[in-house]
Amino acid sequence: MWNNYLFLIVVIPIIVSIINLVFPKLWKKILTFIGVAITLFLSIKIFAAEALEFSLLDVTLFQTNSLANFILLFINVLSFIILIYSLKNVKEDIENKFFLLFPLAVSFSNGVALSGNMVAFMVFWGLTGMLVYLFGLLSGSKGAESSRKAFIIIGTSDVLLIVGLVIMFLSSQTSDMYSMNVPLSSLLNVIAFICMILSAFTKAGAFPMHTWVPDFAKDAPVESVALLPAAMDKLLGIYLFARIMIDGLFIFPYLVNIIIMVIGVFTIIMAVMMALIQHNGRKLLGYHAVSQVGYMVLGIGTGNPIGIIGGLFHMLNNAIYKSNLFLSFGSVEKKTGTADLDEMGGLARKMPMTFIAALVGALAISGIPPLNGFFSKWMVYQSVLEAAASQTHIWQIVLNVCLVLAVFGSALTLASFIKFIHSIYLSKLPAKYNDVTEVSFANWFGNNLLALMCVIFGLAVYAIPVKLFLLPILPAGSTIKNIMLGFYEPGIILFFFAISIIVGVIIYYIFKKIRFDDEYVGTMPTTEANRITGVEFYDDVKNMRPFKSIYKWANKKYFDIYKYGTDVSLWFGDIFHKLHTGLLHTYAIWTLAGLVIVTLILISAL
Amino acid sequence: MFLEYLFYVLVFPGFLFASVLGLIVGWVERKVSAKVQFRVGPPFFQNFYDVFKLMGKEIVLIKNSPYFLFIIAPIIAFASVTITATLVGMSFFYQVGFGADLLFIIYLTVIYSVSLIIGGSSTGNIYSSIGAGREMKMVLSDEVAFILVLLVPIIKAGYTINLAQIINFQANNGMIIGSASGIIAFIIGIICVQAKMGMQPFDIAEAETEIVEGPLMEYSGPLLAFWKLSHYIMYVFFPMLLVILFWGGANLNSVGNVIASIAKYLLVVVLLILIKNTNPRVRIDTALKFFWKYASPLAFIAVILAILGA
Repeated sequence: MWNNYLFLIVVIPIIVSIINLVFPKLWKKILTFIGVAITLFLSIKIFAAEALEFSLLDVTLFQTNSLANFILLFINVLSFIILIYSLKNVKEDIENKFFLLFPLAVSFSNGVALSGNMVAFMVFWGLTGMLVYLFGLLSGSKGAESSRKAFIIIGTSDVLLIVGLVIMFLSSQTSDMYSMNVPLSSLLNVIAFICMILSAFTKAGAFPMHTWVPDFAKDAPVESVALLPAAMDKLLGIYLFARIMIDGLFIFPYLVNIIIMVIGVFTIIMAVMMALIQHNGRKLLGYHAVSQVGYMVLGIGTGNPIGIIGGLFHMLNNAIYKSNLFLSFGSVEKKTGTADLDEMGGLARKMPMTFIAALVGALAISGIPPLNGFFSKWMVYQSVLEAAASQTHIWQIVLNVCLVLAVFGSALTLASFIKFIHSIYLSKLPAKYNDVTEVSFANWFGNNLLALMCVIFGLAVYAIPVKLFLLPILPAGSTIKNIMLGFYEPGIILFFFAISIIVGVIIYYIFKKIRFDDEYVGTMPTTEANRITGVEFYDDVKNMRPFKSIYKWANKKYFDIYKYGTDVSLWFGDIFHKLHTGLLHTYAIWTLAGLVIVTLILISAL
Repeated sequence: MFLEYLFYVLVFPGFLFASVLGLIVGWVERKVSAKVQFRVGPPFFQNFYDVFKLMGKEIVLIKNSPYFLFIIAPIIAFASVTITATLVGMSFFYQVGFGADLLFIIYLTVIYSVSLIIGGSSTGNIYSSIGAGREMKMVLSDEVAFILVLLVPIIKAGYTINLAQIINFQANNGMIIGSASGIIAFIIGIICVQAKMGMQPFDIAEAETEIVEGPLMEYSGPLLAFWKLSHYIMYVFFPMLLVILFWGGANLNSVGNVIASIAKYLLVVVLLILIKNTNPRVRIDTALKFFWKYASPLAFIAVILAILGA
């Protein structure tokens, strides 16, 4: 037991967290760092090993396969990098609690990835959900409302998960999640399937359970946003989703795949349209955290090999660049003291390292080749085409619409990140930020590690992510060549890129003659008063019919499931509220009525 | 192998060929425009003179701006169009799928717009920023229609995104432009290319008379030459791409076929130029509306027709 990696990787962070309770601040950091470094080491060990098991009292608690290994590795890699960022500049008053919660988040996420037993899975799944709430509470009164919202939505999804798993247990008579095959033959099993899918969607943040993500992203401490909704919850939610769709937890007809793909595309478009008009940088990123999930759902939903690795690759990429973007925005926010995009501008000169990280992240998420985000989207597009190829006419039309909207969603993503980059880093620097300096080394270093991963996973797409992490998930013998519709030869393309950029640079150096000057408009240097922030770039879209009314409805929260949930529960509450009149004889009548009903039931049971 | 690829990217059909052909087509554009407006037009080498003259001019960098971006953006844009021209040119002249597939090539062309936006707005100039915003909206506006247009040959050729297979399909089954869906898609494709290249009536981002070339406002000297050259290279690969997708690409195995191939390419170019010369600039919201509410549904009909086999 004490030398089982699967056990240690879950327990070590918990021990660290317990010791952290009593240690002073500096030691907390050191201990957490050591603890997470150990789990990172263990996860690499586990990844290198084939399939491992850990049993307690004759029940297999933890178990791995290639998918779980892959998820586990990146849970630990990403938390390690985010921890490096968090070593400096976490807000003074929350630092103590932050380093208590951080190891717990790592431990519980590892637990979810490893659990092969449904009870263990449920427990860890619930605990990671609770951590979202606890991290949100660190922001004090500002985060109270949004963390409550997150907690209620995630809590509901936990209930759904339990219902789903119980039904699955009843129909398959086993609690081992690695040996279940539940056919969608009865209504009960269909309910189980829907419950499980919704639960995965809540964690990952896909429509219709996504609404907690943008609100949480707006208020919670930025490090925790980068850790949980941006990285861990994506990995875990999509992990469950992938288990459902590809590991054979259920057996279902292809129509289900198509419905799920349509949901995926709807998630992409709806969330990115909301992101386009945001003025708060964090909310913008939060909506993108939702929108990107659509690609993963779309890819894995196709069910073909290229879609599965495309979707999983996108999950990985998204976890990397989304936490990168959140962290870079956090740095900017710490220096400027605002999250409002209208207030910022021209910070590229002041915070160059943060800017590089943010730019790489923004280009990667927008799918600009040759960065990692492009390749995962490209695989997803191919998978949709491949899925369409074998369908009847009507489904071909549906799938082609899905493809077009997914590509369009990518353009919209680019648009909103142009706005993001433009309004924070480009355009004109407001005078009040003249003294802004770069954040400390730990911050920008951690941030740029993530950016570096974006670049490496893009440049060496076949050699590293596809070969090491993604192909092992598919059945043995699959090669990238025989599952893909299109083709891409990195050697040629990167060679061309290098050559043409070198030629460009040589021409530039031969002919360059440089003079420095101010920028002018009509012979006058431009002033700050009439600078363009970039936030208003897409007002044309916003004011266009029919988007105008849709945006109006969205602002009234017509699309927010939380609103309907609270409405329904308040309505029930209202009924019971009305019953409490405070008059003794009303209570007496209700008691009597209850007694009569109980008696009737008892009599009928005889 | 190494030298062969070096030849492809630097000489033919890459850098050198695309630049020279682009500048020549640029001259065709100016000449045809002049004829339409009853002017004489510039001499044949005018575009070459322009580029060489720009090379000799000085570059003005903006104080207190991230001028590294300002310098690197045109070089990246230039690299991306050179690669696109190489890849499309290989398919056009040799009927092979080379380096990457259609989806990749389409995403490569976006790099030009992104560099233009980031390079331009790094200066902090108001006009550049306005232009950058418009450029992005142009990318948004034609995206849906353009993808739908591309889907027509993809579907017709049996769901392939390999340019060689699309050319092959047409060699065996007749040109895609000959079908109902093909002709609709081709026409909308021409309009989309017009928008992608920022030509009138969609020169909204640069709009010389209104926002002084927008993102290019602060550019001068060799850097401006890179932008101009990149723009001319687009004249090379966008028409070629349309010819490949709808009109079977080029065929160089006999004199008649060579002439036919050149004629196909030139016809598309002249169509683009004529549209440019007969339409005044539209507002950005009009362009958005046009593409989203008229062009895209029409292209969607073409896709449905293609699926139904028409």
